[in-house]
Amino acid sequence: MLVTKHAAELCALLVNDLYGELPSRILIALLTKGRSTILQLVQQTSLNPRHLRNGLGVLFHQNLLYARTEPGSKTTTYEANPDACYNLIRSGKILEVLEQRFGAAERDLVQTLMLLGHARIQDLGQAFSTRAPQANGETNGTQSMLIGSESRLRSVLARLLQAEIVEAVRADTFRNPAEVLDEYKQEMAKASPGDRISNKDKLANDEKAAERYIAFRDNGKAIKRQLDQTRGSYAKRRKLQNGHSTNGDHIDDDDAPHLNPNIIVRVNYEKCLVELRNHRLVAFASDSIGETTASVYRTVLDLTTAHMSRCRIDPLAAMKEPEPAPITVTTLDIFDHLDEAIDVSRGIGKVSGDKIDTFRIEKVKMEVPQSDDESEIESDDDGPVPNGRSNTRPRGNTDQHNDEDPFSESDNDTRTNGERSSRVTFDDSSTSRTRRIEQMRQHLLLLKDSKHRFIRHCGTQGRGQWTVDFRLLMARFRDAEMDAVIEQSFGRHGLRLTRILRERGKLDEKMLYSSALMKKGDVQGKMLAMQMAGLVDIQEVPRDTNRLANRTLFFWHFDGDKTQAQLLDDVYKAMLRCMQTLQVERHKERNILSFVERKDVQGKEEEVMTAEHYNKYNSHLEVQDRLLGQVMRLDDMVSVLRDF
Amino acid sequence: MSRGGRGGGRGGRGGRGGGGAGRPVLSWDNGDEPDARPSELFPPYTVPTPTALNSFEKDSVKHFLLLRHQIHASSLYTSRRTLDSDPLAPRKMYGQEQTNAHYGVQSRASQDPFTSVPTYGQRFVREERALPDWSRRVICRELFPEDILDVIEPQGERKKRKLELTSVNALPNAEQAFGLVANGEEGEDGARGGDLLERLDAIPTEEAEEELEGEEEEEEQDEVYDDEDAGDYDAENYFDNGDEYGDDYGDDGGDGEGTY
Repeated sequence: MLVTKHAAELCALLVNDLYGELPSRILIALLTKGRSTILQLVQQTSLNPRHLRNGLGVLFHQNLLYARTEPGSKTTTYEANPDACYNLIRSGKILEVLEQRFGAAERDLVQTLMLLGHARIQDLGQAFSTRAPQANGETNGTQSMLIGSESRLRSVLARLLQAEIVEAVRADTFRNPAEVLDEYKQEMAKASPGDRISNKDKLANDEKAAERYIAFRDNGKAIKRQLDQTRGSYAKRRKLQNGHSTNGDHIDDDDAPHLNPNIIVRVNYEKCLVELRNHRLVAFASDSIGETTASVYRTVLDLTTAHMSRCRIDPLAAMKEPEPAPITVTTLDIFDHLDEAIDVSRGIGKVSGDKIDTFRIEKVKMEVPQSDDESEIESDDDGPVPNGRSNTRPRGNTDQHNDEDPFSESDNDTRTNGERSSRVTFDDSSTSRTRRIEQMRQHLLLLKDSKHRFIRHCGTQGRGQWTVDFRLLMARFRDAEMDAVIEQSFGRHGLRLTRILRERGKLDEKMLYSSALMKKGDVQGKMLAMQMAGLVDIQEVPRDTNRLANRTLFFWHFDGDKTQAQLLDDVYKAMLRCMQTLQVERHKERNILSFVERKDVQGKEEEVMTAEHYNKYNSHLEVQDRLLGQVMRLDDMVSVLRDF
Repeated sequence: MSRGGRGGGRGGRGGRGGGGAGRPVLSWDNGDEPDARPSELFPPYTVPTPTALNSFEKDSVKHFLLLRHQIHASSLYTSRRTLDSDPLAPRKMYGQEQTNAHYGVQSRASQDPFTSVPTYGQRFVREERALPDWSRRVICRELFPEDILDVIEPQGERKKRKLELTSVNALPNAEQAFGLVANGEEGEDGARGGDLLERLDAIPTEEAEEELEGEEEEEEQDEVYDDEDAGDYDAENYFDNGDEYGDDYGDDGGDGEGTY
């Protein structure tokens, strides 16, 4: 996370809002001055060391700091962890997603961990087993949902550990990962003999360092691997539960595994982000296609991301960790995991078979498409298909389709092909299961063929294999997000111009207005406005050495990365302003708010407060909800632009 | 393109309609003068209104607020120590010293004598903490760097602390507090209902009611006095029996009274 001024202020404000003024004050100093020791902090903040230690303790306890003690000396340097600070705003969303995905007990545990920062399993067990009876004694209905015993805690915790939502913590987890990698690199350089290191050696050293770094990073997952071995992997267990993702009330106390009570655990935000991304994608599919399709998509995503521990490749380990091979799932797999309550016959239309270009629809794309080409006609990747092209069909745009391919490739699958032609007429003779599968396939095909290309059809085994190209999908998402912003601020024409520039690179003005089909004056006005906003820029290329203005070419260009970075900062700023507005609102209503917090008032506001106060308080709560909701929406945008 | 016509407003050195020293021919120049008028200070702007939150967002906000509430109730929360905490006041700070001076000024010396007279009601106000209270926290000693460990858990007292879960499990919700929702649909709300009853039993209600009545009485009394003042002794108009001097001083009689 690039810490801009607004990002730093946002982090500090979040910490201020959640943990109080002292930690926030120290955090600001750390963010502005970089890593410091306590003595340096004393100078900067003019706090006394006792206060500083307490504040640092809070920050450290909540995992908001990187700390490093040099082995020789006793002094420790502290560094702010801006990502962790930023993630505080996501905690509400993460909790909600986890509740939907796993259940109330899991949400409860994660919330407790967020509250505590990190905790030892032993302490957790003791705390949960003593809490249960008095906390919800009267509500018998919810008793089963929440954790009430140590064995229940262990089974819930094991589930979360296996899903990587929770990870183990060790002392060196609190080091800055970039620093760790650097240190490994240095060690490697020291170890290699000679003072002149060839390029090749250096590369080899770096690779070794990256390897060690990966080992260091995945240290916290050792317990997960152990659990996977003893209990069977997480995906398998989900299969046994028949894909019911929402009901977390399986009380499987019996198989509570043995967990080392001395292990310290905390929430793993990286994996939580994967879950958030799934949720976002499903919501998007639901908006653009339909709810039933979205729930099929949810199943696909759950299956493909079960072993994905982060959204993007860790840039530090990129050297040794290439882009993971796409995880494919078969239609039958998806069907097995699909919630039985979903009526897959809904949300698909009926068209007679001869109006559908079956071959185009069923086309298999084996390879990950290299670029995000809108026109899949020319640069189509039929290449890997083993058979050469024999003939072309006399249809509009089917020159890339090979008639024989689907059949020749899938001889064992011809039966499916046969059914496919009749699928839209709802063959009554087929059994309900095969019909259900067929209908579900329709949804998958819908997802594949939508303009966002949610999934890719990548094989024919198991009645079709599917995969999700997250990198490309999210790149498309980012572009869409940026387009929306540009359209909001510069209108349709601004969007059109930037899209032309994005597609064709740097353009002369004449080319620009001729390809945009706009008037010269309009183009100039728009481009100037966008240049002032920093979206587009001009490059001068002199035609001769004189550099006269009329002998110079001027090219407009659009820098996507820069725009994205700038947009990100704008979003941070907007979030910051929302939070500040919330502070002001709280300040305005401080009397009522402090009154509500009074011990004698809590729990019986109805008797004590007058109607006028009640109305004020209520409207304040509403404002607070709206502001925080807006912040979370903005965070959605940040996630898309930065994290997903 | 004729250059003569374009000399226009910005003639410059070439002069108006000057032949040779006009602007060079540029392909993108379409002859219009740039609009040099100052732009409107507040151009018309349609403020976009966000759509209402959907259920997912509402629940997320609720979870976030609950977490916030729990953290505030926990022993690590330190409250504001700035005296002038009005976020509306514009504040520009130059340099670290000013920033530091702005913090941490709330102490016994900076108390406001008019509001700091202890009252009964303050017994119920949540006590403010300047430093986090570590004594009730379970610490994973091996994780913490040594130099902050002394403060958090001094070496001497190493008695076994017990981890406590938060007792806060619902937000203070106006609707519920006012009994508008008879019984929550969710489990948490149910728990809240139970909580409420417990609290009602636990706290002797008379105290609080008395307290409240006391406050109200005070306010009422003030008003009563005001009214009486107006009837009996009117300080503002004490010297101002305007009719006598009103004619002399004209309309300014009221103001003139001060100089009188």
